[in-house]
Amino acid sequence: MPTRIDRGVTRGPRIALRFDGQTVAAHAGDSIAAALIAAGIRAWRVDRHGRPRGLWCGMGVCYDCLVGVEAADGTVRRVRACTTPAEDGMTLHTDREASR
Amino acid sequence: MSYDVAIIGGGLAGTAAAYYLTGHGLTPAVLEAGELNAEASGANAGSLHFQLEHRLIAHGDALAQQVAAIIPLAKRAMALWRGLETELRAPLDVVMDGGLMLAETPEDMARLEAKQAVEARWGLDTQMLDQAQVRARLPGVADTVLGAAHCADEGHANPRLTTLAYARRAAERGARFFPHARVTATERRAGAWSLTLADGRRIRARVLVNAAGAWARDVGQLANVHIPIVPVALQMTVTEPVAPRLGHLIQHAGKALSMKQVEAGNILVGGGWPARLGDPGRRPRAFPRTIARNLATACGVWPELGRLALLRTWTGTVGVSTDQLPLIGRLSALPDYYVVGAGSGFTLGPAFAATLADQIATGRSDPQATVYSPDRFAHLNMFMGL
Repeated sequence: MPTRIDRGVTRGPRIALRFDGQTVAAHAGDSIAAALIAAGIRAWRVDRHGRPRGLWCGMGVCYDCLVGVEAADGTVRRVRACTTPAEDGMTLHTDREASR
Repeated sequence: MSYDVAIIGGGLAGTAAAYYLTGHGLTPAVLEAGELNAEASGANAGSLHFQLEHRLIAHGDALAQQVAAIIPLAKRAMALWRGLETELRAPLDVVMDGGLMLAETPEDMARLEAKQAVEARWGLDTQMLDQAQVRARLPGVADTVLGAAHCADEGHANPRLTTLAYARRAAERGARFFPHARVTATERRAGAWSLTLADGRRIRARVLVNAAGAWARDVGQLANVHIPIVPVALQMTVTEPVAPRLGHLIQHAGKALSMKQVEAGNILVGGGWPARLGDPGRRPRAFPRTIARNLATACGVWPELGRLALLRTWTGTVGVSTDQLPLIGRLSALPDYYVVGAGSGFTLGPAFAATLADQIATGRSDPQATVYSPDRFAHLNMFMGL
């Protein structure tokens, strides 16, 4: 389990996300990828061959870190976890789009 | 150092030529100004397209008849691609599940029918499909698509892997590769070619091959000959990875378009749309207006594409000959000087290279290959040479 650096760091207010039904504690200002990794979750996409994928380039280029974000109407949008800010109450799903 | 053949250019044509030359028992050296596979050979969209292309059939029947001379090369390429992963003992993501050239107007259909007649005469197997047959092969195809020409051998392969696989096998068989070796002089000395590299090293070879792609003209001028290959800047766009849904290579009878779904699930869209040739020595710049037109063409025939997120557009510089046909063979203006390249160089690259290697090894040209001879431009070199 990774540990956050807390000393000498000012973080945003505490928020909570849902990832595949699990509650993930985070801070406002975290990216989705940072929130998931801090919670010990390393994979949130499944590729065409069923292999787990997560954060690779970490800077918005490779699109390996796509994750599903569920909107209020139930539709799911794919976003890059590394460049998308976490929001309180966000519902996330492992992306299986390429493996179907 | 002395070699049988010095090849200038470490793209697909030059690297594959090195591989096939080693198969003839010759020892080639490949001199590459930058990294192997860094330009058009690695930056293209990886189509394996064997039907006469839009760019070749768009200018009327007379020219289509003339460019049909490319078909024997296409057939050789088809056979080489089918066996290439086995031959090179490497995954190249070769998929040859078929390609469709779509028609949206009666004019497009007429063009495809004329094209098919030419292909049949040259022994290339293609079939005309009606609207219902296209729908069965391409779920989600737009209602505007009236029919298509189908070629069962078309598909795609991975340009990031192919040249490097050829290079590994060629090196195992004795070819030498010199990356970051810019050639600054090519001279005839004592019955052989003497090449000078930018760092002062010298390389001797009996035969010189200009495989410099978009830069073939500049390399030719080192030996005081004109090579009629011009640089063209192209761009391709790639979507997010999605589940398999596009089983064919897609082209268009009346518009520049290529579209396919690659191994990882991404959809690549291109087909010959111009980027902007930038400053010398730099990658061309992407051109937003032509990206939009390329994507509009693609969405016009397959609207599902419009729902996908785009990841990026990239550019590459490709060398195209002034008559659209490849250049393969010896230049009579100079002793033992060969040219290889120009146009559809990924699909046809293995066939370019194998044909060239046959010519160098035997000293003879297959009669069918004379149409690719650079000597069709011999008039350009009437006042040139060494």
